[in-house]
Amino acid sequence: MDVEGFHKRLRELYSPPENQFTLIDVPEIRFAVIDGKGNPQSDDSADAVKWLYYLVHLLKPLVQERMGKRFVYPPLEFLHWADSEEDFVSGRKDKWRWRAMIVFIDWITQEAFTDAVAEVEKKRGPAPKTLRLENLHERKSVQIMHVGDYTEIGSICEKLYKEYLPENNLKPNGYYHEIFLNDPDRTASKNRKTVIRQPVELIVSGSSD
Amino acid sequence: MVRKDLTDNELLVLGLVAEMPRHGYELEQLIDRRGMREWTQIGFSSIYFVLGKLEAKGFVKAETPKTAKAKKCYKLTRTGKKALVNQTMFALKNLRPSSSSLLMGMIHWPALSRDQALESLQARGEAVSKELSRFKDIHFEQQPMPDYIDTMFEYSLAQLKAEAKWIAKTLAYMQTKPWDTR
Repeated sequence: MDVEGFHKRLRELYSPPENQFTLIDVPEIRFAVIDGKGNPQSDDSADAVKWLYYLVHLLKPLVQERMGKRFVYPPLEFLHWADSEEDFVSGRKDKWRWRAMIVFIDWITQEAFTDAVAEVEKKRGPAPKTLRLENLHERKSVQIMHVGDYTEIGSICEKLYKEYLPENNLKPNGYYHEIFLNDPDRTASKNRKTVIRQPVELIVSGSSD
Repeated sequence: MVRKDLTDNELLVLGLVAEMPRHGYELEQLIDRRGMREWTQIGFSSIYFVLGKLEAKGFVKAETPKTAKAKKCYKLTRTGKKALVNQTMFALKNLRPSSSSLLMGMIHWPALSRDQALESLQARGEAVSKELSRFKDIHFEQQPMPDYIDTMFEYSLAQLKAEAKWIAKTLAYMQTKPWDTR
């Protein structure tokens, strides 16, 4: 990912329109990630989020120095999936898998990352085993901005998977993705913004003769 | 209208209720969790007192609980929102004279012997550096935080660093200058 290019596309990537699904081509982006199993609202995931933000905190001066006033605090993102599609679609969250992630721009070298991890470990004990830097290239994706309570996301997904995708001849091509733009601790549920994203591909209908 | 009609504690609680409607107990927990007792004088029991004051001024409204057992939930009113905006702008715009014990110490500097004076200033330097590292730890522990809170920590750290720098410079000067010994 080219940092300048990514910065120019922030609005497009993180602020899609409300009330309608839009298609977007998501570039390859690097994240710091931690994986987990079970309900995404668990203590495990809260711990993972805390870990990621400790790292952001330590690496922020480095990035801020390079980006100056263009520096933006990165939001928390989650990927969700399940081993069986049935468990995912039926919303059996105890069977879900999750990946907590935060954008770690390419300027953060693996070395700086490793140093930051060591520093957090000094204060908080061993790092989660799955903590790593990883590139994600979602390519063609459908996304929408949801403003409101997190519990309403289910009905948007229903529209996405049962109406929008089939109507547009699309199918999922990657993990379901949520981006949380507000701190739920400080934002009333009716004002919470969440970007909902699903990488997709065209359904190729039967082999043509 | 810019008038100081809210105490610091009232403004603090009003701001928390403005985020979203909250119960008194929830406010207590929040103030604790966000480490607000660090820089405010709000006591455990005074939250209900402050909520009462805000309610009397018409800035918050207690929603009548649906059941007798349910807790009272406080909500921001329109006048409350106005007061919050006014008071917050006032707080940002205006310098409030804050007197540091340093001024009281420096003003009476000649009352001290050289050793007493230098030793005291040195001790202050150590206190400042201890406070700096304590503050950095809190800044780390409290992550994640929204950008405006993050910059608030940066502000306090910058102030402490400025004081550390001033102490070092002043100490060096006072140590070097010929001392009037009587």
